[in-house]
Amino acid sequence: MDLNELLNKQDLISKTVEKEVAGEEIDILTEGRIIQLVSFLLDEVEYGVDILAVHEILRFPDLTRLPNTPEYIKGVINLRGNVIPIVDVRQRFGYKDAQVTDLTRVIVIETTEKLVGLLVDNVYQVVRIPESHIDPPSELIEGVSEEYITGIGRLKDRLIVILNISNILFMEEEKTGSDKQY
Amino acid sequence: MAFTLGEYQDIFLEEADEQLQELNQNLLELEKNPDDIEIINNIFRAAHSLKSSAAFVGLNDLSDLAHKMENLLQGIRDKTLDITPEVVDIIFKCFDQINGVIETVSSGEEPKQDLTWLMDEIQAVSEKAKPDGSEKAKTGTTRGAMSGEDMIPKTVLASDDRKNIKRGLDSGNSCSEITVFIDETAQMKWVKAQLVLSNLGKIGKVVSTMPHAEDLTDDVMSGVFKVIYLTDNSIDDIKRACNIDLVTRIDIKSITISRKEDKLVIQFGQNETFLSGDDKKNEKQYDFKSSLSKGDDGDFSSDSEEEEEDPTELIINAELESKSSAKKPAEREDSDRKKITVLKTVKVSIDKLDLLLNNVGELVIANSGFYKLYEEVRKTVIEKSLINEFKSRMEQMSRIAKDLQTGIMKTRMVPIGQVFSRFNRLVRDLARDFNKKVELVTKGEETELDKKVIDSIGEPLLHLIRNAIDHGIEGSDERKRLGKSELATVTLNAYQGGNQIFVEVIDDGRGLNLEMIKKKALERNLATRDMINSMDNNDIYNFIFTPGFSTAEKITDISGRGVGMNVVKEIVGELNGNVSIETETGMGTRFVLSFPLTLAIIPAIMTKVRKETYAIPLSDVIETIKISESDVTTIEGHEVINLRGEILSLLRLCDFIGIKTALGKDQKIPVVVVGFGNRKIGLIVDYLEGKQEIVIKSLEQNYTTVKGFAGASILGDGSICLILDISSMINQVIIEQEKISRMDRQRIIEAGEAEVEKTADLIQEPTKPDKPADAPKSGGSSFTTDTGRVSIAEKLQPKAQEPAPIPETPVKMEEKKPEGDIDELEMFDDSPKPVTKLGDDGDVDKKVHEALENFKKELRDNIKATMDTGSPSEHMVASLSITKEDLNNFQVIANIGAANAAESLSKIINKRIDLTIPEVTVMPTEQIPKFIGDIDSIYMGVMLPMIGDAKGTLLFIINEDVGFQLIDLLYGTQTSKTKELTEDGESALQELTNILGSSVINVFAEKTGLKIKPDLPSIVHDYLQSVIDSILVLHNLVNDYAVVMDTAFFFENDQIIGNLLLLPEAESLKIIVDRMGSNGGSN
Repeated sequence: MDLNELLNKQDLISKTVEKEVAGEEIDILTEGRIIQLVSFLLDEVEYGVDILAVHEILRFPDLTRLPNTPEYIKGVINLRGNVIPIVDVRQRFGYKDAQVTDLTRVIVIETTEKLVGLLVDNVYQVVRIPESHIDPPSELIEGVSEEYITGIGRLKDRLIVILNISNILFMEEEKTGSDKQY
Repeated sequence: MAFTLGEYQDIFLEEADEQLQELNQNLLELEKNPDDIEIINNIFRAAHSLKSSAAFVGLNDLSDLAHKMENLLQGIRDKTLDITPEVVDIIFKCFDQINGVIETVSSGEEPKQDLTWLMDEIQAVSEKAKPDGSEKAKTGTTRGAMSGEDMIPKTVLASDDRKNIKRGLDSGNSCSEITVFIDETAQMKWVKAQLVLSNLGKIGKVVSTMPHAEDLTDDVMSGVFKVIYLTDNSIDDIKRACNIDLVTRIDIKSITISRKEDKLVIQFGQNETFLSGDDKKNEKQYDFKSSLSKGDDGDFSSDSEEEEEDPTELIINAELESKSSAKKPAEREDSDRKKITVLKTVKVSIDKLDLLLNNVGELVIANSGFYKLYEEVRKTVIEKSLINEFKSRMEQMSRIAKDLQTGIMKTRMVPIGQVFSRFNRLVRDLARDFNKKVELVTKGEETELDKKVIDSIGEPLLHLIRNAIDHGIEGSDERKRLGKSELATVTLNAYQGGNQIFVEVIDDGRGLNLEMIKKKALERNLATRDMINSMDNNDIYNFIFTPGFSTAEKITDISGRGVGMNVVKEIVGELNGNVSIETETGMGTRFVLSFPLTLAIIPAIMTKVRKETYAIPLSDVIETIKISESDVTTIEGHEVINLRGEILSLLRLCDFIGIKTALGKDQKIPVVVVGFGNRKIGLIVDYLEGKQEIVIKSLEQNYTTVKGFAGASILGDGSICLILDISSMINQVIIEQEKISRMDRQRIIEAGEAEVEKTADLIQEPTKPDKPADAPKSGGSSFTTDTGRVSIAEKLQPKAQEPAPIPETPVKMEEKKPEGDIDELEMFDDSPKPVTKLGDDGDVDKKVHEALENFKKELRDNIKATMDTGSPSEHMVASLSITKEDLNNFQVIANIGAANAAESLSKIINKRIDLTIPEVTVMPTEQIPKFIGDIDSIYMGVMLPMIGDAKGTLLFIINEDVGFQLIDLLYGTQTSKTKELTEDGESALQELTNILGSSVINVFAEKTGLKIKPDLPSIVHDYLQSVIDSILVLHNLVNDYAVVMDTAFFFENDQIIGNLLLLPEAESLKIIVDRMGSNGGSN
């Protein structure tokens, strides 16, 4: 599924979460550089990843379990001949497990030349946000530690937690990794 | 902005690298054979092309240096210079400098090395090395002093040249002799000369040059040269072609040829001189000369002002020359041809190849998807012909894809010789540094390895060679003292074995110092003393791969920091390879690096745990077997089986990957025996699927390394399977295995071998991908016969159906061992522990094993023969209600048990053991003592009660003297020292009997499925009669008759060791026999 398709799906998703976001983007065009984020919701908290890092978005794929890795590594998938790991964002951020639904998506992102899939409950929308509306990470947000966050975007009444994707995969790897092995 | 030499930089760098290698190689040769003119020429050629190409890309300093070097070489070639070590050294220094420059350039920086010091040095050396000190006018400096006019070379035409001229003239071209003067002050005149030649070459044909074209590329030949030239262009054109920067004067003479008294006469026309720099003057001269030449346009040749010789002289000269040098051009051609045989190659970056290979891998995978599709289509499409067409196309595709795959794989293969040749220089230099005499021998240079391996193998080899020369090889004096040849050898050897490539680094030095390694390992807390004591030598040697581990007393700049070996291990590991060490004190060390044949596509065994597929690289697989749960022994949570007398640690893959097995309790367990280096373990899986070629995809590419996995592979259906990293799994298991104590190990070994069922076909016959091989479902018992009657002999010797003539008496079996199979000296070593001879450990074990196998076979052969012997008298049998058949069956098992016992005994005391065919008889109990030996001698009897489902007693009876002897052997004390039975002695004998007995009892337990265990052994030291009596008391005797299995053990010198008696209770005997029957039938 590519981004166009995603944009089409967007409406559908918006309806399901009953949020009206149209019209927001118009008045921010004048406020400096604009960053586009692909956002997703986890238990009512909206997270965003820079759209430039997003490679593609997939439906829930066939996973191959990858033993001896931290629990948040759900497994690996075959993306056109590439073996890429899937990070369960819920587990990574300490949320409770959720069921795989029709809306479950994998956001494939590219970070430090690696492709990583982020398993999320849904893809909410593509958000345009001026750089000036992004604050540095300050306090802990729902247990998500600062290392994973590059900033917090303010958009009217919404807050979007912008993720530091390069840290999602590897931070605390050693600690968690060795704990689990045997 | 990176420094670059322009578009030809890459080519230059590649070429220069090759040329340097060739130079190094040849110079080393030259040092050995200073008189070999061929080598000198080779060096010359390479140095020369290096010089040219350096000048071509504008590295003038480098070119100058190469040039100086060439002067030096020229001296060698002309024998005006001796090949002294100084000369060779300076040339090597040049190579190093050139290499330095090249490296700087390739790293994208501008080379700023100052090379003048080296040039001066060359000058100094060349002066010094002149044999007579008299200056032969050869070097550039002396040459430079000569004036231009003197330097005009004489015109000498070989017969070939004359023919060419004639042919050229006949075809309407004009021929001229062009003399080109290059400014004295010009740098690198040869470059100009080459330029002139190439310019001329564009508009005509250069017949020959004076000096010869090869020498023309050398400053020695100074600023004047002549060209004999054929062209249909005008003199003006020639002039223009020659007139390049710094050419001061051009003389052109036309040449005609006529026949005079059977001789070709070459006639030179008038000289036309052009001076550059002043066009007017040029023109004027031209006019003047041309008019002259017109006037001279006759049959006559005329001398030019410069030409000293007259035409006739020239002819004679040419004739003479043609005689003496007629062969020269031919020779040249020969050598040229030799060069041409070099394969035409295209240099492709390894990245491109990798990409290609990856794509092809995908193609193969994608292609296999068609098979699935085909099956689907076949069901739905009715049109048969279409289906067939589809299928044939599909197969064609897959064939092409496979070919493509192999083809690309092959392009990655490079002979290892080029790596080896690099080390000649290193060895030479190191040997000089250490003042040792070392020769590098290389073998198997043509062995091809994956380019990736070739690229990385240099460093490990470098470290190994350094170590070999620094630590391994003794100094000359020491070698002499040891009676070794003063010249040490370091051998590099490469060869292919199976789907592995082996690269060996062998030295004939002092070998690894085991004690020192132990000491260091202890010092560095790598292991405790206990651990070290329980380790075998190979494990101890492996310590040297630990980072920072060094046994060197002092650190040199070459080695001793303990980094090298670790690097070796790591790099080799990265290439999926392995390092093993063989060493013998005083004899040398051999490091064997092994690599998989190809890196990208590997054959693998596909296994499953539940629904997850895991691939095991076939190169790591030794065999696949099936065992039953009961074969598995657990020691401190560590599972092992006894596989053909060896302890094999087990690892359950399901545990490793953290899921539960799908195997049922009673199901046979498939085990993949995998090995890495000299270690092996058994990997328990759920199902074996078959062999498949898989493409390795790294997990690191998008994630990171994952413990236990070497990578992933994408299967035909697009799903991913993980590839197990056997080496890491083995390492983990081995650590656990180390914890098992010696005694436990021994016990396992003696406890009898696991009944294994080979599933070797899985390995030998490649099964089609995607199609799981049928996992054998039948049980693994050896008791499968149609009748339900058990006969091991029959199973193992299926053809020996008819009973052979039967000897009446028990046959004493001699172990048929080929002579010299086992080191006799070793057999009688005082040491009780197995003597571990370096490198031979396995061999002896193997030989013992072989011999025992042979023996067992013979035994089984003879079982047939003895089957019906010793038939108990009817009434005795009747009284015990045991049939003759029962006894026979019992004997079959008894035989195996006895053989096992003998094997154990042989292993424990490390001596060859002979034994008699066990004899199963029913006899009156009171006769048993007589049966064994001298009633009135003192014997030791060790009783081992059998408990469990079947009861009885196992009795090991030995003469007192032999008993002491055994104790001596077991404790390693001096022979015939022990004279009384101490507590220690008792426990030794008890332990011995325990082991012996267990190996017998286990066989019974295994064959019958009964639970039989040995109880605690007890010892009786008394007269034989009393010994037997005490047993009979303990033995639950309800009858006057007993069934006795008796086997006698002998040392190889026929001295009897003792008898092993098995006295089952009559009831138990029946149970055993019944179970044997039913067990055999049920399987």
